[in-house]
Amino acid sequence: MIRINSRFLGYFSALGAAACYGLVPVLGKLIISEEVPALVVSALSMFIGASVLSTIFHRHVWKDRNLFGMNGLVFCVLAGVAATWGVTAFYFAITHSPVVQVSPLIALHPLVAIIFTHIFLQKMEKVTKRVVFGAILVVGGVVVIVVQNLI
Amino acid sequence: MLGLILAISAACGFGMSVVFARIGMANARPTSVAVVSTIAGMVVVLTIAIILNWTEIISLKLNVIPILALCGIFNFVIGRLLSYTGISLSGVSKTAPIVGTAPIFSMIFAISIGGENLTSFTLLATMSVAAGIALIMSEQQ
Repeated sequence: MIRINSRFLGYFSALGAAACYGLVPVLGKLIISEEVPALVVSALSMFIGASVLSTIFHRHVWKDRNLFGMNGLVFCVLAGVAATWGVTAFYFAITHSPVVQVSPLIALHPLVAIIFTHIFLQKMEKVTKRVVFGAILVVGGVVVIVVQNLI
Repeated sequence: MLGLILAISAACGFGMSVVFARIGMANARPTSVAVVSTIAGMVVVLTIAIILNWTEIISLKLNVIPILALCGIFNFVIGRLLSYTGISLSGVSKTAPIVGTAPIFSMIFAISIGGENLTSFTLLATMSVAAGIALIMSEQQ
């Protein structure tokens, strides 16, 4: 039987997520226009996504309701609101500044996540120099590609 | 200047989101966290969209619905579930940079589907990203 290290399963899940997130702008490009603003695409696609997710996994939420606790539930809600703030702020940002200036700053979000992890999750995980250096290489490459695509 | 401040706050929003999700996952499954966080986010963004873009929403053509559905499924069903599974198995600090490679995948899709060109500069940047991911994945802790 093939045994996969759970750590590597996590990495491959993250790569799969990146592939999905990478496909969305390509699909969105097909419909985003003056008649269909990006915020509408984001809101309605999120409505569809939330409907599908809750249809499939509502039993998990029901079973986990006691495990969540009030704190856990608050943090889950905050996770959703923070991500939504990210999307909304991005759309407002590109109405005030050129995309070529805004997108590279958005691409820095993994470094922001690492800084917040170091500040708030010290008991849960350790941020090593190797991970920070790896993240800088990743973010640097992504910023170069984002800028090159926009120029 | 306002645009740049908003961009930085957007990056902070994305960065904080995964940290909050990790705390929420301390006792619950990634699937449950994905459902609760997506519904919470949807309520906020849908409210903003209804306030700002009501005319565009009601005049939406039916032929855009399938693409909206695909965006929703790839972004919030498969993408978010995989991202939260990664966070729960490997931690935020290792998962966030890997998920942050999404623009590389966009470029790959744009080249393969959209027929865009690959430059040597892009290739160098992709190699930097690959080296970064290899470094993160080689971390033993």
